[in-house]
Parts: sequence; C-alpha cells; structure tokens
Amino acid sequence: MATLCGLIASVMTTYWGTGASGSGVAELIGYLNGINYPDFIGIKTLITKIIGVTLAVSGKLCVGKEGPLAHIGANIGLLVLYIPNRFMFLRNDEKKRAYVAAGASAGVSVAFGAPIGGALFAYEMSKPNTFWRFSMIWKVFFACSVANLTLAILTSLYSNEF
Amino acid sequence: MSVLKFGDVVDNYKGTDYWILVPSSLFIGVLGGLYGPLFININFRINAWRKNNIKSKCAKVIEAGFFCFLSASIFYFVPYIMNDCKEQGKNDGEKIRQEAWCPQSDDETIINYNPLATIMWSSEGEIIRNLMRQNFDITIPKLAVFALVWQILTAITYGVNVPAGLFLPGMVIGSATGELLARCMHEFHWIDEGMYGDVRKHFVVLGCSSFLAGYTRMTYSLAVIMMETSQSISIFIPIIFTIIVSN
Repeated sequence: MATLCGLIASVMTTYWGTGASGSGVAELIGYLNGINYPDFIGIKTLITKIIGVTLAVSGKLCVGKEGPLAHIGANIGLLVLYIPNRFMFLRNDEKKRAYVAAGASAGVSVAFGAPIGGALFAYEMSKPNTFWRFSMIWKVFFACSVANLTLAILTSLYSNEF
Repeated sequence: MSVLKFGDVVDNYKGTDYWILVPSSLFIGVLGGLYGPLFININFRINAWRKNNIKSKCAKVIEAGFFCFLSASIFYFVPYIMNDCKEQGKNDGEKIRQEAWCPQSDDETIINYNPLATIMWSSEGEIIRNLMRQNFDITIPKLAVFALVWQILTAITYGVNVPAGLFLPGMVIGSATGELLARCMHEFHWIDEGMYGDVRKHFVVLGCSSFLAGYTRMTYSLAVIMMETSQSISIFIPIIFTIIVSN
C-alpha cells in the first residue's frame, strides 16, 4: 500500500509536473534572488506538489511537509496575479517576487503556527533584496496572520468546537 | 493552532536550576553543527551517483517505489525485532498507544504497549508530542536505534523524484537526540529527579533547533519559529546559543 502511494507520487512528478520534485526551498531562495527555473511555478506544479506530498508522506518515505508548504504558498501567491482580466499592471518581475515572498512566508507560518517567524523566514530567504520595500514587512506579516486565522477557523469547523 | 504542534512546555524552575540549560545548549549545538555537514556530504555523494546512473524516467519511478517499500518495511519490522512491553493505565494518556505484538493483560485497567512501535508508526508531529509526554517510557538503546534509522533513511531518501521536505526529518532526529541526551544525563545523575520532567521537554526543543540550524543554515527566523512553535519564552536564549554554536 505504501509502495503504491509512493509510485503514484513519483509517476506524477516524473511525467507531469517536473518542477515539483525536491524540497522547493532551495529553488525558492534562487528565485527570490533573481534566477528563473524552468517549470518552477505553474498550475501543473501546484497540483502535483499538493497531491504528491500527501502521497509521499503517507507512503512512509522519510520526508517532511514543511518545505513543500512553502513552495505551495509561493505558487498560490504568484497565480493570484494571473486571474484573468485582473492585475494586468502588476505582472512585472519585481511585483512577482514580492507576491512569491508573501506566499512562501504564509506557507511556513501555517506549518509552524508562527506568524512572526514566517515573515522573518521570507525576509531571511530573500537576503534583503531590492524588491524589499520597508512597507513590505508588515504586508507579509499581515498575509501570515490571515493564513493563521484561516487555519484556526478551518480547524475549529473540522472539530466542531465553534 | 498549527500543522505541527508541540506538547505543553512548562517551566517551573527553582533557584539556580535554570543554568543547566546553558552548557547543555552549547553541547547540543556542537552535535547539530557536526551532523549538518555530515548529512549534506553523504547526501551530495549519493545524489551525484544518482544523477550519473539513473537516467530514464521509468528507472526514477521504480527507485521511488523501492524506497517506499524499504522504509515502510524497516519501520514495520524494527519494533518486531526489538519487542518489549510496558504497562500503562487505560485512563492515563489521551492518545491510544500502539499495542503491536504485546499480549493482552488480565487486568482491565492496564494496557500493554510497545514504546518503539508507538513512535515509529505515528506521524511526525505525533512523534514529538509522544516524546514529550510525561510517562512515556523508552530505553536508551531503542531511542538510539530510532534516531539512527531516521538519519540513514533521510540521507538516502532525499533526492528521490517525489515532492519532499527537509524540515520535519531534521526535527524528528533532533528531538530524538535531545531526549537521548536528557536520559543519559539522568542516568549519570547529573539532573536530579525533581526537574527532570521539565528539562526533558526543553532538551527536545533545543535538539530540534540545533539539528535544523545544522543543515538549513537559518539563523534568527529559525529562533523565532521555534519559540513560537513551543510557546515558551524562557528558552529563547538557550535556543539562540544553540543556533549560534551550531552555525
């Protein structure tokens, strides 16, 4: 059973969403500092990452789910910009990096339940780059807080403690 | 409220007991700093070999399936080889422990459980919470075996063509090592009985941060993340010592 889970995850990663293999945090550091990877961000990568990491963890491989959560957050953050007929003027390199940083920090903060830690994580990963304005810190922190609030609401709904 | 949750880290130290955390945090930092480069070196060599020899897509899929089979069977059979049973009252812990191959006891209020199986068959967050629990009883060699199995499997698994993360294996190895250190110090009577329960929990958190800092090379963000996850202010300075030494 575990082998089947791992096989499905690997088939998806190898044949469909090739950008999803590995942790994603190292590539994220590269991306925030100005290197574009092929297939690193896209709808295929997102779906493969979400399903693949679930299957890999349940397949008893010795892997974690925190690094992929950062990658998933980064993907969602960038894909927000590509909603049709919206945000046309924001699709430049600088804004893309800002949105990716916000998404990744939201992912990490949800994984550890640490909003301030998530914001600092994005700050440290991007090695304060030129796209970091002063006002970005509190925007990223706000993104982390909203992510944690959403998680809290979902958890309480799931366990019927409202 | 998070995906990964620690247990309750309480701190009620009396007098000068708190200062035991400072030299031990430095020592755990040395351990984590030694482990990080070792892990990266082994993993780098294995991945270089992997890149040269496994090229076709079919071979990559077969390799991932093989590693799944390998680690699942190791996790299943190690508790069988090192089988022993501990007793626990039925109403003590809130979570059910794995009864594995233990015989049923005659008394209704006592269940037998296998401590190694309990931590090997649970998810990663469960492992840390189980290690922190007050009356969790596991011997030192078994804890060492557990940490060793996770180290070897993580080093050879990372790089297989599946989505994989590196945060949680480091935390599991670190927490097992911290727990191991606390039990050794208790065995040699360096920690007295009264504060052993608190020191154990703090060592688990310190071990996590040290082993993560060893190979991810994060500094202040890791310190803040660990403090927020464990929700305890008083071990912030020991965590910072650990991370500095480890880096």
